Amino acid sequence: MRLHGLKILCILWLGAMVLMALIAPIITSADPYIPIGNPLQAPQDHPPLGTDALGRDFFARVAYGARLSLSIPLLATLITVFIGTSVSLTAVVVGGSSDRLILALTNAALAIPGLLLAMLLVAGFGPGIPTVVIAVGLGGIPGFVRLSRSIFLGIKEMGYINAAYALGASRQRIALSHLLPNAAPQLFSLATTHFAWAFMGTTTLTFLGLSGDPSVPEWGAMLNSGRMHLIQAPWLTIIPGILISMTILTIHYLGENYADK
Amino acid sequence: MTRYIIRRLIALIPTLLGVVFVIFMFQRLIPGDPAVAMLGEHAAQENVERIREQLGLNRPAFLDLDALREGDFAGFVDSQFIRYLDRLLHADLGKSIHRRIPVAETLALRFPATIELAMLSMFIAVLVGVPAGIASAARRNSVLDSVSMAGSLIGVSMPIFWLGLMMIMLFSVTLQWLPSGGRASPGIEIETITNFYIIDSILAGNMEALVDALKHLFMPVVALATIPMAIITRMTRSSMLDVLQEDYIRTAHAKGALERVVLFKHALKNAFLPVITIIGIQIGTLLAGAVLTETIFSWPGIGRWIYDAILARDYPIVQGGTMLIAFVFIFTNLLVDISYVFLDPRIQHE
Repeated sequence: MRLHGLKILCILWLGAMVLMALIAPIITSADPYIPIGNPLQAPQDHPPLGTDALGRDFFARVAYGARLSLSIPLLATLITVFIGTSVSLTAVVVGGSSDRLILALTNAALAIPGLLLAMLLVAGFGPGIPTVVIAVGLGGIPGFVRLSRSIFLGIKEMGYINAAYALGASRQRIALSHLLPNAAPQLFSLATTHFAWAFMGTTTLTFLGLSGDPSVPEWGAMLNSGRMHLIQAPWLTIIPGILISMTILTIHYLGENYADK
Repeated sequence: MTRYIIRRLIALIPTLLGVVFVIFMFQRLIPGDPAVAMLGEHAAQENVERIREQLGLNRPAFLDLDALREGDFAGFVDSQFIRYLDRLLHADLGKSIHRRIPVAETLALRFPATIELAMLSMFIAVLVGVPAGIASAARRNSVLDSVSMAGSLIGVSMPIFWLGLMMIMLFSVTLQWLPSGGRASPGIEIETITNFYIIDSILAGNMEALVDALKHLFMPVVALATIPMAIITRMTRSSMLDVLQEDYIRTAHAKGALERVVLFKHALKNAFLPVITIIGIQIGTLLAGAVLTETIFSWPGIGRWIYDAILARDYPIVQGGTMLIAFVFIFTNLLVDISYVFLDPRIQHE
């Protein structure tokens, strides 16, 4: 608890990012899609953050960008958590050869790094934001299955699960009324760490230009278009990068301290 | 020892088959007909049929049950998956859709560039990460510990594409110390023997080429090494902290052993097993990260080729490259498994 102040700072940062996404139209009157002035104006010439290569207000793009930048990994995480938990819960409750098969497939899929798995999907379906969501969501499943399976296995060994079996509870009841609620706190912690991974993964894919339409404000895609103007307009690269790094850092820090508790 | 290795090799077969299966299934998930994708939308129907025949797309995906009912066993196993496996066993990864070149050959040609980058990055990550972790554990809660923990937290949080761009901005644009991309400067001739530029330039005794190769390697290696370095530091620290609480460490201290001896001889040997494991896992991160690093620094390895293929939707290249990376990952982890026996002789007998 020595670093309590840092923890508050992290929560404040994340809160500010969410708030920025929610009230973007209030904090800026500029439209993130429409050019309003000369391109590549420095922040001092066009406060607060200058303009991008097409003369659009960069602050508006950053603020509106928070919406997609935060919701893409959130959706991807929901996909991962939903499918991953269903698979691992089924594996643990059914057990036997189904469990072995699921574990074997998971281990094989884990040999392909999650990010590459996601890229494989984007290559197949073609670039676009829905593809990025699905790709990062599916790409994270193997890792999540493996970790959530061990959480469920740990709980399954508890006396009260045996007692429930002895009372004649069905598998479905064991899974949904006993295993799932008791695993919830650990699953939540796992999902938080996973969100940081998904955030890194989605911004990586959008940075690689795989989100399709580059006019859509999103931090990774903005970094990608900003790097063409690294010399004349470094702020176009520095600002989204700081936002991405700080957001991942705060989630990591909070996740770690949640786990330490 | 040999028996242990053979056992591990046999255990590898299902994993390899699993990887092939996963990649094969991904291919089938993709909407549209691969034959149409190869020939373009306006291809004549008969050409599409011919390609489908060539690729075996007119066969069932796994097993032909109808053929089995007719007692035709060869027809029963003649499926897309089996044909795919057969081609793989002959090192045939298919041809690039757009450029019509064999995927396997180009991968082999570009692979040394990626391996040179990845191995050097791992070397740096271990060289910095392990001592930093040991020092952090030995001086727990000191300033040094706080600095290295904060550093590793920043390390895992900073996207490597951003770090790469910031380094280009500082070292190439502002200071003009380092080249912003590529493997060698124009005009530098390196006789390719191994295709590892460092080794080749040393073999040729060409100092100018060696310095040039190292200059080109510096930024990509730093960018790629950051995340594994941070994770190795954390793992070494927590593993050392666990071991340092053991009774035999107290005994070693009590009998008056020097701290240096306790740390490196008694503690490190036992703390190293989880660290080796995490190093093996990080190989995967490193190879996936190569796609990014190579894209930013125009590094002519397989990562950059995979990226270009993703944009062009040239699926055979993406598939072949992913397969190669997965296999390299599996085999390095086999080496990690085997190294356990040297570090902890008990493992062999389990």
